[in-house]
Amino acid sequence: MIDSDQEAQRLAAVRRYDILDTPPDGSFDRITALAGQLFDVPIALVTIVDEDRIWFKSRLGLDDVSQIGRDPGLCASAILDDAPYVVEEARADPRTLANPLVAGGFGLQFYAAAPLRTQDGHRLGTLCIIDREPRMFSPRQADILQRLSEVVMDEMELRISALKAIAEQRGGTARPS
Amino acid sequence: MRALDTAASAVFAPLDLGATLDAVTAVFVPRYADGAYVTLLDDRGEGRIAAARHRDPVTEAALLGQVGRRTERDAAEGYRRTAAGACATFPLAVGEHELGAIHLCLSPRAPAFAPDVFFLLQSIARRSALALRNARRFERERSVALAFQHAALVSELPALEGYRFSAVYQAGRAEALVGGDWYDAFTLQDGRIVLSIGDVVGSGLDAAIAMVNVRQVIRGVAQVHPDPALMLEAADRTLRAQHPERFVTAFVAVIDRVTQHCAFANAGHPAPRIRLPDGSVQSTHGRGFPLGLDFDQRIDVHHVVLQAGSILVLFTDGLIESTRDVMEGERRLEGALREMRPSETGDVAERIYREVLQGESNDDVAILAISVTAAPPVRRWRFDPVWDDVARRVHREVCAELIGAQFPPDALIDVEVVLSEILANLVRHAPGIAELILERRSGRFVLHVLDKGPGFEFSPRLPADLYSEFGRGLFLISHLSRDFTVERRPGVGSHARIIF
Repeated sequence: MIDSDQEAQRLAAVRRYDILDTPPDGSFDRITALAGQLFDVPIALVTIVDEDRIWFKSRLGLDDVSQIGRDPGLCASAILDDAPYVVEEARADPRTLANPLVAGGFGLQFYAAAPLRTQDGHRLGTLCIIDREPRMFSPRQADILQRLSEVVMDEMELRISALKAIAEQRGGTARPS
Repeated sequence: MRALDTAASAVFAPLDLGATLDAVTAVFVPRYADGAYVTLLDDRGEGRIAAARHRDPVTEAALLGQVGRRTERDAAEGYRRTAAGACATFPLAVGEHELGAIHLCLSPRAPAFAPDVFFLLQSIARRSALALRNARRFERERSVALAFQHAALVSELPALEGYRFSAVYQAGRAEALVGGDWYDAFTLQDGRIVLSIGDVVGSGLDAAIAMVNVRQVIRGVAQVHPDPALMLEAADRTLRAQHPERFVTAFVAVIDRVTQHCAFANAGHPAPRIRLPDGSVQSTHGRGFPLGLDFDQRIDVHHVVLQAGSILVLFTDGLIESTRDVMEGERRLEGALREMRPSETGDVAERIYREVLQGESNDDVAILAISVTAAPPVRRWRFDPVWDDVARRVHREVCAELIGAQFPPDALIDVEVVLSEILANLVRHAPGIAELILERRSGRFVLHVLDKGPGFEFSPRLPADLYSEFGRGLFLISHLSRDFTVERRPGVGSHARIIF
């Protein structure tokens, strides 16, 4: 299970990057668009796992949902490990068959996620791709998904540096007003 | 003369033999005689009592007890002894053709027949003979047409896992002639199901022959190229060439169990109904015009997905028109379907017949119902063939699946070549996600390849297009398999079926 200390530190990292509830950002949308094209999937997301919710920084193919509860737990499971988390056929997979996103009307059948890992080892969320039909996913594909997730992290780091720079220029704290 | 006319119109009114015999005896009794019985010659030329009537119910009952007996002499003698009045026997013959005789009797106290009455009776007997001959011909034709029709109907509906078929065929009642209704259901080598239902307008033996021709043409075309529009077009041409006076309403469908995809076309036939898994009932699209009319129509193919829990019901107009109120018939049909559960083990067609007609049917009725109870047991691989490691894994897993299913090892090499060709073709011609489905069918394997390519058609049994851009690969596949066809999936891609 989740170590509460570790989780508290992880949540602190999420806060530090100060990305929750920010408006859409072209650089993240370009990455989900690229993932969608590359893997020929209808849905690609950059997600941030918050205390009680999973918030979408970028969402391809999901126009009307900006966050979901943490309970269904696909992304929550995906951030438990550094390696990509892949479910090829969710309805036949013991890890996911009872998941409401799988068993319910959404009909998720394929899920692959690479964690967004900070330099100090915290996994903030995922870059994930989703399909409503099962599909096969190879180690090579998983490897590329992982590299794309690293590009997402690069963007996050750039963002946090930019925020710091702005704050320093203004001579204020690290946190902009 | 008026008496003769009245008698003649009475005996010619019915079509079948029983009713004609009844009309004949009624013409004579009680107006001209106290009793009458008709003997007809059977196949061996021996007389059999066919009908009897008497003013006195007791004598009539005794006479009726004799019906069917060959003992003409016994019965006749017995009757003569009891009746003991004047008797007259008129031969029933048309030209040279002798049918039997009609015996008239008067009660003991009645005066004998006057000469002019005798002459009238003789004339009525002659007319009766003609009416009886027509009725016999009608019966014979009807029984031949019925036999023809029954021989033409499917004796055995397909038995397929996940599908349940049921059918009703009810010929019209005796007073109507046999119509040209048919239904048909069979499976192709590649596992697809072909359905047809139709109605040849008109009745009798000719209609039955036209029906068998049309049904057979649809069957034949389905074997070579199971395209619903082509099947109906072939039937249309056959009708116009061989039965120019007939027209036919028909509906044909081709169902692929693996994709649950149903393609259909309609030519003027009552639209089949589909009960969806949620219990709602839909009419199938497209009505078109009947076949055999003297103009060219473009037959459109429509598509529907038949998920597990669906019921498709094909029927002829006798089902909904028998109440003389089509709307009421349709309402009953849709009501019955809504109540139906696809998992029900009962006979769906029989239940629809009962609930819609409620015992009121006079017309021909054919019903064919297909219940989809479960998705077929198949193995699927959905993948993007551009990623060569995924493609290799698919290759490996398909072969492992075949080996596990006792596929002959010496034939596996062919499958491997075919698989390589397919995967290479997918990368070259059909970018995007593809799906391979392996289906086992009575000892054979059908490999389905569904892609999102531009879509093309290929049938090794049709003349090859020498200018086709699709070269060696497809012909290699076709040589290394039992059968190989490719069909366009409109707006989606192609569906190839390879049988090993």
